[in-house]
Amino acid sequence: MSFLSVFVHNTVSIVVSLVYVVFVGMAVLKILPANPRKYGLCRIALATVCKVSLILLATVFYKKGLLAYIFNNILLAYVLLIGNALCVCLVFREKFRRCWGITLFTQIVVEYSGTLSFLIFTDRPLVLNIPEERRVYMLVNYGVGPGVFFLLLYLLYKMKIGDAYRRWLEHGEFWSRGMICLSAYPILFYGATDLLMGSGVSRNVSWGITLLMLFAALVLFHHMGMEEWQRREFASQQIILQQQDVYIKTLEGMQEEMRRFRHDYKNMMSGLYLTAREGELAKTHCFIQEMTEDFDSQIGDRIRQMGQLGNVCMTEVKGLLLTKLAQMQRDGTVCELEVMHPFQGTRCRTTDLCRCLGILIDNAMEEVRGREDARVHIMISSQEGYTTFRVKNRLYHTVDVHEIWQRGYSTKGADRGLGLASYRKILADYEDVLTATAVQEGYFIQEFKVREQNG
Amino acid sequence: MLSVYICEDQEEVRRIQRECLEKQIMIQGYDMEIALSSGCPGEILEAVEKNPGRGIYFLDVELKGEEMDGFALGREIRRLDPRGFIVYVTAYGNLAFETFRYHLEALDYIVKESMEKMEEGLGRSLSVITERMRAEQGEHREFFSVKVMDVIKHVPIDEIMFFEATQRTHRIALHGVNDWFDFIGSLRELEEQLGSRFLRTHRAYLVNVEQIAELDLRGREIRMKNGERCLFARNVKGALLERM
Repeated sequence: MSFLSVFVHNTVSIVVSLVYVVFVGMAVLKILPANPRKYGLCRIALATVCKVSLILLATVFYKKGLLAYIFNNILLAYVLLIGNALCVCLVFREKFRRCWGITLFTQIVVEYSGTLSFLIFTDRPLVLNIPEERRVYMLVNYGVGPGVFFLLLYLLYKMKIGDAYRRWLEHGEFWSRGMICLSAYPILFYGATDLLMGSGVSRNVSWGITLLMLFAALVLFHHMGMEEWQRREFASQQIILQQQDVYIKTLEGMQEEMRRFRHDYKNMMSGLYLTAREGELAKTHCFIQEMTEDFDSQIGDRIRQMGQLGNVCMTEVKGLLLTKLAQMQRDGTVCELEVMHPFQGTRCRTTDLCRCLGILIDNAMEEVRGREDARVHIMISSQEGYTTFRVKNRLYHTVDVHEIWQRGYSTKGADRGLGLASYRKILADYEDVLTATAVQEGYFIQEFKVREQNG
Repeated sequence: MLSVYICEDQEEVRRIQRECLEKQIMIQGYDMEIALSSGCPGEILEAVEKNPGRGIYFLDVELKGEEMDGFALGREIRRLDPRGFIVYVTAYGNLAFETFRYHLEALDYIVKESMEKMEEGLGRSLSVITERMRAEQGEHREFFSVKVMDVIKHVPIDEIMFFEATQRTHRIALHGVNDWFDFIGSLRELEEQLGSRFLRTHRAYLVNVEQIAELDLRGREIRMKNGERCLFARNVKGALLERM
């Protein structure tokens, strides 16, 4: 085969592998955005240079017969992986970790399906210089291989392995043990095959054994991931249960107060009746006013608060608010909660939303704790397809708006102030979130706006 | 002359409000007149549309039997009269007023639990409005207004330090004395909009020249009056030195 034909062949297969990665990223793992933003010429040029050098390298390796050495095979596999990950990274502007994860996932499935199809159709290495064998190679590589690939993907998708993998990618540490094991798969794959073939086992059998090993490792890996996921799920369920408990206790408390008020109310009514009968209009006026105010201060506020809370339709956010309300009540802080319209959900992940809102409320609570007339104001307002979360508290010292974002900034001494830094880090991942900080008339205000789920 | 509008569904309360406001206007000699008092939001909107200009609006929060509630009416009024004064009148002492203030820039709210309190509230509102109008006359402060998702924010131009293009697409961060917020926009458009007071010192920065405290020529850094720092490119050094 001439240099050019090998080059063309390599170009096609590398473009195909990139398409696979993008497809897997979008359809199976749903990590890549469906409508990539402006590509930018520089990025495309860089990605192209990256790919062309890989193709050239592969072609030279093939022509010089260097592919017989296992080390070169491993090297090529890594260059391909890194190249694909970089391309996806550049074009979609996603984090490298995610792109690397997608590429690994895709490449393992590709390798698996390719090896499986060759295993079925041939029993020895094909010599590409013979037209007959080349035709078989083409058929397997471009016909059966992709078929098996998509079949495998479909199975993985149906078994929800794609979802589990995505969760793991988004929450795990970058160089966790799992990621290192996955990243080492080319070494393990080529190493194991080479070792087995070296000890006299036929190619197909050694491939078979390697595939089985790989499969076993993946099953184990998946099992571990699921276990971890279930553990987390259980923990979050526990928290929700605790929060529900607080909610029920609050309602019971209100019921008790209602009962007490009913008792007082009867007494008040008889008092009112007497003054009215005596014809003292001014006194009656006064009496009615006092009664309304009493009601407001005794349970009206709490009824109102519960009413506002009823507009929060996300259980997790409701739970968070309940916990914070209870905490503030213990601290003697008045919390004014406003949720005027029902709030269904946002485009943020629930955990991230709760963490961010929690950080803002905690900061506000800490600032006013122990002060006279301690008051925190929380507003959740859904309008025109956007939801605003706004937390406001009185300031008892001067604050520099631009300094609070620095890691470790705190008005309360060392080892603190990490909350806002992580708040910012969490929201930095979202395109649909805008944040704002302001000092206004002696109040400190933090807010973030999120596009609604269906907005 | 400021037009005063009243929207209240209870006829009796509406009559009292009107009388009280008329009395206040006459006694205090305010430059205002009652343009319309009605129980129907549609009529109010129609009247505002016909008679453009800054107005004062006393709106009931709960409008029974009407399609619009006070909040929706307030939003429509804001569209027609961005600088008007909106005051809410409510039966409940603990209205979600922060939401009203945030979205509609409502001035105040009055509780109609007793006639005395309501009259007192109406009088207070009128005096606050007059006070505010007087303060505005003496002041010629320019504001930068920008739409941030569903609200419009106003920041005095002399309180803005610089605009920064963040790493996310079309996202601009405004760094001010008392504000720091993100919005969707482009530095190029801002540059055109704000004119010569702001200088594009770097690909990612549009700086308010009057707020620069000092330049670090070696590190190519600008220190602003509030202590914040931003960068400048080599080719703007000359322009910067000239402007300072």
